[in-house]
Amino acid sequence: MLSCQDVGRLTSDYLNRDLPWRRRLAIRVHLLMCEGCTRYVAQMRATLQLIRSMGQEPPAAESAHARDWFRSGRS
Amino acid sequence: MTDLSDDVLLDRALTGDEDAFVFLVERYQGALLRFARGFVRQPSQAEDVVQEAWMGVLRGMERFERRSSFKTWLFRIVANRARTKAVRDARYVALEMDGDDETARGPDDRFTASGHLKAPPPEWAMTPERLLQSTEARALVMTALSELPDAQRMVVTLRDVEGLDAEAVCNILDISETNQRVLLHRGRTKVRAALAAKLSLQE
Repeated sequence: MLSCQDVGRLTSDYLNRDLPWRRRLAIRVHLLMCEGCTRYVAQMRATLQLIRSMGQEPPAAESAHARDWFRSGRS
Repeated sequence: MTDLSDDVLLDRALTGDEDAFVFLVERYQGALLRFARGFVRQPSQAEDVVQEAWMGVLRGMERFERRSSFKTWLFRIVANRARTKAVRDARYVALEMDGDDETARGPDDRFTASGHLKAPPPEWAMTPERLLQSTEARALVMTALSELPDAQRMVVTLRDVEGLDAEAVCNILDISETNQRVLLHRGRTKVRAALAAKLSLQE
């Protein structure tokens, strides 16, 4: 049986879908019975979604030199 | 042109299309600068590193065999340049040691001796959907990421923000698969804790 502490340690891998199916199943069984871990995993999932959404930033306005680089790098 | 893939832009740059190259620079410059700062600290040095990396791209793009994605190749060039510079300036700290040994912190008092949670973590004041739209939550995540130890920040940024896979990240940072997983786990856990500190409801 996995303890809550084990589930905490495995949550990141679990959310990556990086675990062997037996491990994954053991976590799902634990989550069915444990409100605390269910909430914790949901919060980690929400955190991860938020971190993943950080990539959509406006592009850098630093291209002023890019043309010079291109010209000198290609010559 | 902004919606073209890296590969298409690279093909165009190879035929001498300057605009295509400029788009690639714009697409990655911000992320590369933040990434380089993890190695060299001073913003001006990070800029040098990234500029050198782009010159490396221009020199090497004809020979780039595309066994990895362009993005992986690009981050790897920056990491190599940054590492060389940091070693030269004697401030390079191997990423394996991020000075954040969890075993040194003693027992975690959220758990009983047998490893069971004493109480569920408090609920948050926002649903996941609201969280994604909240400027407050986004600012919290930005701050939490910036406060992570370098190695954790780099792994979380490359994996979760840039969307690179584990193999690419190990390759770019020159770390083991196990280390990559531990750093990712610790970094994500701290970002969750930062959100929990502000968003938890009293129970």
